[in-house]
Amino acid sequence: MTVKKKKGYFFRKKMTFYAFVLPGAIYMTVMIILPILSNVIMSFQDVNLMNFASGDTHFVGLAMYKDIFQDKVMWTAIWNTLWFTLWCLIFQFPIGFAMAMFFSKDFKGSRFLRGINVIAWMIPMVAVSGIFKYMFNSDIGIINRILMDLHLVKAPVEWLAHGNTAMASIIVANVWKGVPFNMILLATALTTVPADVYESASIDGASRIQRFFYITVPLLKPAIISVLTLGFIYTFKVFDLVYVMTGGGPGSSTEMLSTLAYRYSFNEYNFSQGAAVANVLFVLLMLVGMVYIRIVTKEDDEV
Amino acid sequence: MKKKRLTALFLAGLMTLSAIGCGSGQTQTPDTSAPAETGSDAADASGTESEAPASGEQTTIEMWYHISPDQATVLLGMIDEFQTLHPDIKVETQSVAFAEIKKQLSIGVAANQLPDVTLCDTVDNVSFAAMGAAVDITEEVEAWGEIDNYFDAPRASAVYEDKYYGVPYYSNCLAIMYNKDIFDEMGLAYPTSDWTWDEFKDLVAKTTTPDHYGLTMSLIKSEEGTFNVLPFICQAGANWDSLDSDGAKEALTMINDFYQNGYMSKELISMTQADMCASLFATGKSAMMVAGSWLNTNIQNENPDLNYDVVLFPTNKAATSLIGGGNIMMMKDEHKAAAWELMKFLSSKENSLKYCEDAGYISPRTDAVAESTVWQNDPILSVYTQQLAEAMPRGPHPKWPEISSALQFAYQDVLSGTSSVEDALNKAAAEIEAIK
Repeated sequence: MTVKKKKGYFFRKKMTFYAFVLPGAIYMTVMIILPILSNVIMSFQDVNLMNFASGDTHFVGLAMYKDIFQDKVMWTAIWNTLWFTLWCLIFQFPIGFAMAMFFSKDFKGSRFLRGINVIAWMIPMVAVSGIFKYMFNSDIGIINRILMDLHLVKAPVEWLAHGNTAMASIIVANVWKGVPFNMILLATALTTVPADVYESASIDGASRIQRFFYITVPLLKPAIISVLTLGFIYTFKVFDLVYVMTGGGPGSSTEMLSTLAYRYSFNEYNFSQGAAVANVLFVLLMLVGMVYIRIVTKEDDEV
Repeated sequence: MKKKRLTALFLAGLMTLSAIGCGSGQTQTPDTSAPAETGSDAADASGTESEAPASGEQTTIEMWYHISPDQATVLLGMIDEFQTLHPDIKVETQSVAFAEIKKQLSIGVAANQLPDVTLCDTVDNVSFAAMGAAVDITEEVEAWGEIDNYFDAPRASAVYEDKYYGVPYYSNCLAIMYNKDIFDEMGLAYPTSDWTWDEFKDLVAKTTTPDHYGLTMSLIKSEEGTFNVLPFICQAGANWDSLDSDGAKEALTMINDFYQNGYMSKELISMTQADMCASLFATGKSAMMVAGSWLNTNIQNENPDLNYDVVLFPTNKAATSLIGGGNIMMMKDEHKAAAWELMKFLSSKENSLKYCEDAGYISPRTDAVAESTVWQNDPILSVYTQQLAEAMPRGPHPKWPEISSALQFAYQDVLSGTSSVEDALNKAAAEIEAIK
């Protein structure tokens, strides 16, 4: 009798546990796992506008992957995405870090100003892209105006009309948007560094630079790693910014993996090719995520 | 520490997953409630009503349209009139955003939730025919006997493999708008309908000053860019299937010269037709613009005082233009008779005239145009009407988006200095050859 009762108790406890997990699990399955699976399946099939209606889609193995990698644009897109991500991180991380350090100094209005900076991060990407597109406009853009007034350039620069300058323009826009994100995460982490560590270090005669590299950076290491990883992932999957500012152009000079996937799927209606490109993007980001988990796990083991 | 690891794992996983969500478009559930709502209607209709449409019961058919609410007023009025005339047919309408209609119809095809009748962009008509989604209405069209009253280009846009899969509903085409004040200021004579490419090039160069550009046309990497660039290629005697010919090279060289010489704004590479009209032509910053009649409305909204007129394209081998506009297609043959009745009603000479005049388009019917005072006498629209007779459809080809994309890369690579005219066009021609 007692045994049975105990069993029932555990059973109920188990059910409660499942009841808590279930909504999340259902949500994940329906909204995330199933679409990804169907995307993977689609990339191994031949689905395009012509056979979409008849349902005459058949498995073609790796043919779609072969197709996209034979298209030079795919390699351009991979290169562009990496190049874009690299430069965005190179700028936005140090600037964000510097601003976090700056605003962590307890001067009058520092909190308020830090809050103001976060607004940039809250503006929708499409709006940011539209504004930057106007700012970089060669006829009426404010950036050319300022550069010319400062006599830095003689003639207006056609920012979005050439490959390299177009890439530079979208990097600038993305850095502007990304800096507050880096700042706020690092600033939060900075508040966890106890002040007495710095105190004792300065008593021991550590210089500012030494304090930064031997105290701040090591103590913030977990935060730095996650900021860099999240930054990488956010930047790597950029879509709206490029779509609005350059549309991947001129030519394919700012084509990213995400915009290429969109173009294959919704401009050319080669759904399978689009799915294949999206999966490549997925796998690349998955690798980054795994490296991150590896690093974090190692950290934990060391502690 | 264990907890932290789990959180990290979860976070990283979530980030990557959400990445794919954005990238693939697969997780984007079809928005606009259109197909969802229509599902139940279709089910109702296919239940009892459809089996006995003649026995006094009502047949419900559904129609989608992608025209703006202003333009739809007249259409909806006609549909009410149709229902009064045919009490046994009930028409349910569904508005879909202009840019969304092709996607929505494609989704509808996959989900088997299509309207009976729909409007679509002219250029997409044959795509839906090739997909097997649009219904073959050749017999009906031939029995109707009115298709010969249509302009050639719009009619050709509804034909796939010698069969009719639609009826042209409204038309427009491109021509050249010019700012009269700029021509007056510079003491230049207005262009006339018999002007040649040489005169055109000359005027584009002459009207370029520090205050304004000579020419404005969309060079964006989308169908709008194709729509603006391809007419010149056709004028030089080439077309989408002969991009490696001398004519195509001559045309792209001319456009590239305009662009590199500063006769056109460098921003055109990312400007839609509405953008370029608003920021360049309507504000007097460009002497000429490749434009369709619908941009009239944009100019009226932007700068009603602009003193402008319109002229046919200049002639090289011909003064060819390309058509835009919409066709009306049947997507289900379940209620074929009722659906065709509606299509016929909307396409009648009187209704075509009434709708197209109100919406600012040109009727694809020559007999309607002949009767209209607007298309014959209006200084702007009469030129477009004339140009429509010398227009061609884009394609028609079921894989037009891919063909168009190849051309877009060609001109963008040339304009941004990545590729020479020769190389870019040869590459595009090879790509198009593979698509065909």
